[in-house]
Amino acid sequence: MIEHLLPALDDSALAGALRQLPISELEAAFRSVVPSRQSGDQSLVVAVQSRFADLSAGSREQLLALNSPWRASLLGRWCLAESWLADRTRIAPAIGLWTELIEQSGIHAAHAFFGRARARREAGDNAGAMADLVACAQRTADAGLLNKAARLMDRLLAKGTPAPGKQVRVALVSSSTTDLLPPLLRLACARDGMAAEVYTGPFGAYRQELLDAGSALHRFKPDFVIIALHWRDAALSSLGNASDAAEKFVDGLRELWTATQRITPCTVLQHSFDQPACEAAGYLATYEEGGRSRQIAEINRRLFETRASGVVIVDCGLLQARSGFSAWSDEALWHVAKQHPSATALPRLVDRYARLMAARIGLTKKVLVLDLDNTLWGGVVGEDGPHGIKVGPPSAVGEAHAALQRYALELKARGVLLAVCSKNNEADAREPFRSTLGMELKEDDFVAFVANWEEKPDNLRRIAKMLNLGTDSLVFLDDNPLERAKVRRSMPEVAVVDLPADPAGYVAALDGGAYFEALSLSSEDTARHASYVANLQRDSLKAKTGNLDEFLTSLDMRMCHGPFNDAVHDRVVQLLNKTNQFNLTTRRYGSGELTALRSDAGVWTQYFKLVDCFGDNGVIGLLMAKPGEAADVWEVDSFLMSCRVLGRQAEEFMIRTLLTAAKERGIRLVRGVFVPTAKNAMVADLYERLGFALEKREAGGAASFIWNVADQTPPHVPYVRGVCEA
Amino acid sequence: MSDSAQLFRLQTIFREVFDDASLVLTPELTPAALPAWDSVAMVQLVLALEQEFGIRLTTDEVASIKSAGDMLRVVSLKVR
Repeated sequence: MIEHLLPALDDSALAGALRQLPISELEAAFRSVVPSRQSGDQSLVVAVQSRFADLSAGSREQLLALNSPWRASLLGRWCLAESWLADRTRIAPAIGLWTELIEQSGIHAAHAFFGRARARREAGDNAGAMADLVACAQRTADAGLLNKAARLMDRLLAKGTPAPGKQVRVALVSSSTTDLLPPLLRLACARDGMAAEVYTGPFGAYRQELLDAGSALHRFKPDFVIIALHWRDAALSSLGNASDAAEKFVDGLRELWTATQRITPCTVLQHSFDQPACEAAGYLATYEEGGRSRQIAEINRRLFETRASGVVIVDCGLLQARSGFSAWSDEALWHVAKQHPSATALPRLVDRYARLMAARIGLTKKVLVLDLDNTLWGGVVGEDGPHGIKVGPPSAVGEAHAALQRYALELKARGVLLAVCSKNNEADAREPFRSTLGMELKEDDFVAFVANWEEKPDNLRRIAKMLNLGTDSLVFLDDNPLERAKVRRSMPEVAVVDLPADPAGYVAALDGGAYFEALSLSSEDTARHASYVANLQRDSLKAKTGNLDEFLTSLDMRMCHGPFNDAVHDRVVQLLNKTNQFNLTTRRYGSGELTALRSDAGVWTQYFKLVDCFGDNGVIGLLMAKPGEAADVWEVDSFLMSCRVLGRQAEEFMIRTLLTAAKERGIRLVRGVFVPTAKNAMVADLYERLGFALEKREAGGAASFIWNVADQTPPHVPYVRGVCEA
Repeated sequence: MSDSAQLFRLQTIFREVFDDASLVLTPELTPAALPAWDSVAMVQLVLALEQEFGIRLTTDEVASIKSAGDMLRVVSLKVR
């Protein structure tokens, strides 16, 4: 009997032991050990469930009898919910039980969400089931669970239940089979706010599909084309490859992208290359110039260096390293089913696809909102005092909190805004930043510092408002599960990070969400913090002067503008793809499409940079006009502006610039278009406010407005001086 | 572990993969008798089975599976 040894094991060791236990000892083990476990650890939950099924029907009934300690325990109720669901007679109570388990299993809630998804579907609540699957995917990286959730999601889709989020069309071409990947991709996309329709090309025939304008792939009109290749496709031998093998191979890929994008304007996601799990030449494959490892590294270097417009390189080498070489490749699965990478590595790969696509269409987050007590430092400053809290050495816990602070600083350096949201007296909350040794963050690293006793959802809304951003731009980091649950419940659009109990895992939990993924770094990103701080100073100046005229005059604003050029190209792409609120048409253009627009002589483009007494705001807005139904009619294709510069007459200046250019070019009518989205209500009446006349309003709220160039005078913009950079 | 217990666990896998809560698994069940049991389903079954029992199947073992009974045989050899 090993029963007496079991209580000493931790959850995952107990799970392993239960899996191996002979059936004769199983019931005793279940009775003695399982009820006391409260963590909801996934491996334990799965082991208990699967071994529970091994018990005789009589033992199962006894364990689950009313008033038994087993039935009262977390894992017991888990098994009860499963059994109610399995015999399909008590679906409604099963849903209730799953709901309790979701609330009580903390960071291990993924399985409970999957359970409730199945129960809700059984009850006919397909939309509820879909929402639960998304919640499940947000909380797990377990390949087995994700595969099951993905299969269930496909069944709901097939029944006409839509996935939540923005529509994206994704074509996948691959040298591996494409059976397992699409369901996982649809699930990962739903998790990240995209409803993906996925097309898969015939196995291995990717060149033909991409090059033939009449192929099913091009008829599908994808927004994204994923070219999923791996090391075998580079056709390299272990040793003796030509020294220009990598160069030729990458040139071939580049031609493939160009040809593809010429037929269908799309963003290409091109795999970089992994390394074979086994290498006959061993060290020589890296040491010799013609060695395979060396050439693969060279291919990857060239791929990342290419920076072709509209092409995103998926860093498979890094994904392989993170998965572990042995976990990434599954030789048996390759021989049996031509599947590469392995089934366990697939979730990590589709994760990357989804994050990169989300970044491309502007779904990434902008602000990290941090709690203080037991998040940025160990302890409670109001009780322990600024010198009693743990941060930095010599405390190991303090080191873990300091590591989170350093990570936050690195986020700030790449353009993520930091904010504090803490339940504290403000003076207590600020003191550690001034006097505690070991603090990495200082008060001026934050663009918003909110410490009071109000509810966190209210404070999060306040922070978003201060920064002129939507609450869906926020990521919330708090050690307190109760605060996290409150924010989740009332603000589902906020990304809430589930933190483990050990602060050493905080950075990994935040990093794992990849909330701030970006495809390029612009000078605006690195200067963003300074720009928001200057904005807050402007607000305080405004409060001080009290008089708007005086305030605007004192800002000494200059707007530098000109047609799109190479220097602003990347920033323009970024603005086009992530501006949501002050955006009249929300037309997203990729880098390649923008290049085409720039070379089109009929299209008038203009960027706007705002400089004032507090500093350079960088490119904050842009306009594009295209010929309308006649040569002397312009239609405003894109008109967008960063909300940071609202209320400063920037939009008046921008439209004035466009109307002046129209007059110079002999344009008779300018048509402004408003296309409503979930986010841009703030500009619904912009054109009328600027003096345009309503032309037509459609049922859905879309509207067009007319400016008559000969008869009307552009708005007067007294506070902004223009500097033309053309 | 008894054969009937393993059959029950395998049945749970089949029910999930084929989305059929009333599927009754017998060792005699073959792909020919279950139209949805195609090559894709086979890969899904093998992967789910590996996850569930915490085992790895060899190329040869996967290739040898022609019925539910074959799966049970492979599982009993691996699970001790």
